[in-house]
Amino acid sequence: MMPVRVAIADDAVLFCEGLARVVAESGFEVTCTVGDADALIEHVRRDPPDVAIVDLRMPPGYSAEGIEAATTIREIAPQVGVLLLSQHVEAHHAVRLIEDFGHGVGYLLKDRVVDLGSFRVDIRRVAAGDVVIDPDLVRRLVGRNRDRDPVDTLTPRERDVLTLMARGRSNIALADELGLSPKTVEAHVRSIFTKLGLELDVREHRRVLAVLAFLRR
Amino acid sequence: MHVPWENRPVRRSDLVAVAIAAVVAAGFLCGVRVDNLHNGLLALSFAGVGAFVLHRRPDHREAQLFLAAGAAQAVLFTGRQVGETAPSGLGSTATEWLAWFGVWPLPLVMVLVGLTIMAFPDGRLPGPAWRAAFVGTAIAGTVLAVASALWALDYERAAVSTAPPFVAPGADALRWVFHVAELIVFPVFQVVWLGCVISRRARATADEARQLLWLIASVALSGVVLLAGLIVAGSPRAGLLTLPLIPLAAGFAIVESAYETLVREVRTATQRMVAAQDDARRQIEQDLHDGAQHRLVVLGMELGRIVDQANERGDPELAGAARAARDQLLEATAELRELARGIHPSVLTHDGLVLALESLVERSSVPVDMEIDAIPACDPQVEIGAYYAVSEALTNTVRHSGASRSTVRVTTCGTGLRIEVADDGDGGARMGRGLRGLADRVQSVGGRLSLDSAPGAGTRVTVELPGR
Repeated sequence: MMPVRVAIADDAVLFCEGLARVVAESGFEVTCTVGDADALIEHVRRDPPDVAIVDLRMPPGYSAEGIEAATTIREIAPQVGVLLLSQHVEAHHAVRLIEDFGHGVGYLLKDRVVDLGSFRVDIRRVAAGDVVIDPDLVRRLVGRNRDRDPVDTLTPRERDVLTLMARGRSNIALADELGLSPKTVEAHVRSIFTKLGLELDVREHRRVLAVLAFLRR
Repeated sequence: MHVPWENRPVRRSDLVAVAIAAVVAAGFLCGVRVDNLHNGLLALSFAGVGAFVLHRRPDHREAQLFLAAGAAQAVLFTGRQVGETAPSGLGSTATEWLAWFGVWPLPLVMVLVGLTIMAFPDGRLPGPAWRAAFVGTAIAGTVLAVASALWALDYERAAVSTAPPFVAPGADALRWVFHVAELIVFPVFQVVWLGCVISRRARATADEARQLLWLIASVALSGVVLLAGLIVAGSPRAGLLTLPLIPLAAGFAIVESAYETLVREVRTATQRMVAAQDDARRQIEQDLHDGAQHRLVVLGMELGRIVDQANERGDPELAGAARAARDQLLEATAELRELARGIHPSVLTHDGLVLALESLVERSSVPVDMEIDAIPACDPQVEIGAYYAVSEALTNTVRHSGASRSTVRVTTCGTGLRIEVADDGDGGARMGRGLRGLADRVQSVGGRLSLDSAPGAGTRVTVELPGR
């Protein structure tokens, strides 16, 4: 099996190099480590990787250069997955990313790279075209106190399913992770969508988007 | 800074003003003479305004000139009062000498009053040319005054009926020369003053121009009354009686402007301080982000590798220890992240006010209903003020109010913003350190903060931030 090829863009040299090393040790092929968006785009144009791991804040403006870079990458090499890393995760960025990219996109706290086991899985999922949303953000949204909140009407199991769904897990991955049969998961998902008053959409990313949009309200 | 009147120290200028008032009062003991009244009122007006301005702006040069003009005017007034009425209580010698002081100082009074006009509003003549012009008026005035003093040339004009104490020889020959000189010199004085004011007005800053406008307006008013009086009643009296309004208007302009300047300076200084504080906080947040946070994450990655390696080697104890260390480290980075966020909300700088507010609401553990109008792009200080207003109010709601829900409303208010955060909690909130800091910040941009929190009636924080 060909190793998944990863490009890394982060202006923090120490972090960039550390990440490249652990990613390489985890069986990925690191195609480049660069410090800004332009260099990354240039590299992707020449030698498209499977996944580009991109810092959200990069020079020159340290605002959302990572997302801009991801947009350009999607234009020039649509097959490349983009995994954005950030010091803070914000719901509006997550929604924008899913809306604009739909598939093969991830949005994680930088801290996630510390747990190599799950970070490896996240890279592979983005490479495979899945949507990956940071668990912290999802926990914050699911656990949020709202008035007359339909989320309160969910059973604990349904809450677990909702949480994983919001993070971008497919039904099969959900079933696997919770130790349930795919049929049970499907039933839970349907029940959740009914309780939250959402349209059930078969496309994964539409589903994540609907859930996130609901949770943000 | 406002100092209550009763706490203000007595100044030398106060004593001068009181002395001037005493001289004028002594003059009024002789009764009220309509054709001399304006001199007494002018003396009081100059002295009062001068002392008042000096209370607020010690060492204000123009106010010192006002005192000088007031003193000269007072001497002239009281001398004339005595000269006109010849009070019976005074011996004839005393009366003659006092009356003499009501006659000859007139040209010098004119010179001094002229100086207050030419030096208005800062007490400095505007440039060497006008200094020369002033010296010219001073020389001419002195010559006229000396002549008037020695030969008693101006008694008729002063309407002083008392005889002069002495007259130097040759008075009759000089009389017509003196009157012709007066006819020329006094109008020239007025042309010089006018020219000086016009030239100053042309080069004035906005603030100075506003002060000059008060002077010009009061002079113009006085001139109109004078003209009307001459046409209607054939007498300059009405016009002369409006003259004391000129020092009043001028003094008001100085005080009003001094306050304005001070207020502006204080506000600018506060704004600079708040902006510097924001810059420093942004820098700290950036440094945390670039430095400590990254280092810790890299360290975490190392620990992660140790976990993996320990697992590979079948050393569960080491793997467990490394994992525990890594978890603690993750807690540390999470704390650091929240700390950095509290120091400066980078989401505001990068994503704008609306998203930053949404992100605040999203993190609140008390449910929040938020309504945001279509708000225009604002000054960064206004946006950061709005952000901190919502942040502080929501924090208080969560920590102290016992509320079950909160509402945030952001509306436009002119070109600025109005932020209202209300909860249904216990009320009875007071201005704590956080709200006070927020109030300072809000005031620095000319805004207002109000706290409405009767016990049992919930808490409402309203902040108005004006646009530019």
